[in-house]
Order: sequence, then C-alpha cells, then structure tokens
Amino acid sequence: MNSSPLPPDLEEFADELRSALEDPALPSDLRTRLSSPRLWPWTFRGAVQNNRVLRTAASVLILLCVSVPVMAVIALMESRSSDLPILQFEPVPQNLPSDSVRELPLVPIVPPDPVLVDPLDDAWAAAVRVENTRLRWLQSWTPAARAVAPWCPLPAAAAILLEQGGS
Amino acid sequence: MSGPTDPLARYKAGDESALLELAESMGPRLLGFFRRMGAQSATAEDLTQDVFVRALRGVSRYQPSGRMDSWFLRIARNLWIDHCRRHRAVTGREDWERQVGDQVDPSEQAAQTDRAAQIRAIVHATDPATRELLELAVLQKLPYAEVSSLLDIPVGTVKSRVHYALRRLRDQLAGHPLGDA
Repeated sequence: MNSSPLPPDLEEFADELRSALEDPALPSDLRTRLSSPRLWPWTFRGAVQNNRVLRTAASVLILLCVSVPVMAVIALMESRSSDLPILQFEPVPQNLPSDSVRELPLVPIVPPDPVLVDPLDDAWAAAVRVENTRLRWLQSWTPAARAVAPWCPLPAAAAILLEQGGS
Repeated sequence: MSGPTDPLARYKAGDESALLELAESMGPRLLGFFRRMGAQSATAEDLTQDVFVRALRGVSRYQPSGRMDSWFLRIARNLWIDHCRRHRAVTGREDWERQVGDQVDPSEQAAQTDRAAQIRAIVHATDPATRELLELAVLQKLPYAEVSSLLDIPVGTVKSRVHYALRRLRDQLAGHPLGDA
C-alpha cells in the first residue's frame, strides 16, 4: 500500500487516525464464506454475466417478450388507420329527379267460373270482394292506373259479386 | 519466469487457492471500510461478501497492472452508495448516531475518555464526503491518483481536501475537552 506522501506533521496525525480507526478482525465464518465461491448466493444476474449461452437465451427471450406486444400495437394502429370509414355529410345534389311512383302490377283476381263454384260459399265471395276492393282502392290512388282506367274489365261474375257486396 | 504475485491476478489465472489469501488481505479492509462508513456489523459483513462476489465474477475485466485494492474499493464504494439509496431511512450517520448512543451508556462512559474514542467520534461526525475522502486516501492508503479516479475529482483537489480535512480534524481534536488528555 503506497499512499501519497503527507507533510510530516499530518503524517503523524494520519498514523494516529489509522491506529484509532483500525480494521476489525475478520470473523471466521466470513473468511470461510469469502474463500468458498460455492457458498455464494446464486443470482440470475451473476449467472447471465458468466454464461454466454444463458446470456444469449435471456436476450432472445427479452426480445420476444418486447417485440410481440410492440408488433401487436403496430398492427392495430395500421388496421385502424386503413379500414375505418370516414364519416362525413354529402352535399345535396342540385338536380335531383322528382319523386316517381312505381307502377304497381295490378292484376285483379279473376274469380273462377261461377258455374263450378258453389254460389253459397260466402267465404270465397268475401275474399274476392275484399281483394277487388283493395285493387280498386289502389287504382284510385295510383296515377298511372287512374289514367288507364278501366284498364282491365272485371268479368261479369266478379262484377255481379261486387255489386252484391256493395249493396 | 514467476507467475503473478497479485492474488486477484492469480485467481484470474485459475489459482483457486488465491481466494483465501484474498479473503485474508482484502476482507478486513473491506469490513473496516463499511463499518467506518456507518454500516452495522451484519450489514458490513454482507456487503463485504457482495464485494467479493462482484469482484470475482467480473475478474475477466481486471487488469493485473492495476491496483487490486483499488479494484475492490471501487466496487465497495458503488455497493455502499447503492445500499444507502435503498435504505434512506437508516443512513450511515443515523447508524453511527445509534452506535454512539449505545456507547454513551453509563457503563461504557469510561471508554469515551479514550483518545481513540474521541478520534472516532470526531471522524464520524464529519460530513460523508470528507469521511469518504479520508477513508480512501488516509485509512486505505490509496494514492491520490487512485482516489481522484474513484471520486472523479482532480488530483490536486484530492490533495488539498485531504490536507485541509486532516488539519481541521487535528484542530478539532485539540479543541476537544479531552483532546489533550
């Protein structure tokens, strides 16, 4: 131990300091612990520092642990930026076509030959009456149908039944 | 051609028997370092063992041309700083005050009259930076250049601070009620 020289007066005091603050004796159990590396505690850090294979494995593990969530976040951000619809208001076009009403295919139900039908079957007659009433109502409210009315003359039997129903 | 005489260099070269020599030479010095810096006995022993573990696990970086004690004391200082950061509630000074408190017990009062006890009390009452400087430069006998490298301050500053600290301690001791006893 070669300390730097001190002035003589301070060197004397330094010696006094050293003798007053001398090193304690080394306990025997501590001496045993210090000289026996097998008794030293195993630490992950120490093992990583000494073992190259373990160091590489730890590096790969850390890299994977970090890269997976990072990649997931990046993928999530990319999908959000490309697939999200843009919400906005479209301007109203100036030359909108006027409302038009689709012409309904009005096909009145033609009742079967009354000879073959039981005239007393009120249910059949009522169904025909209701359907024809509906068709007439539609005709009255459909401009195209009104223009061509009467576009489809009802059979005589149906007309008779309608008149009977109306009366 | 003889091998290295430095025990740490011999351990690095594969000589396991150098460990006992290392324990004999550096163990008491490290234990004294931690005790004087304010660690309790059990803590000082644990820290001494930690220094050995770290020093010998990193022995591949040790250059035999350097000073072995400087290598150990650098690790010891870093460990002590880490320890103080982790245990802010019980700093060195508090620890020392607790020890002094034990010492002023009436049954131990006779020992207080000893000049060595006065020196210990005055040294431990100094600020931690001065105590560390005295520890390294005076008690551990490291050259100023090594202390400068350890504490990261210029060599001239180390020298002037050591001289100033020693003179101040000597004056304090002279002014101590029992200083001239």
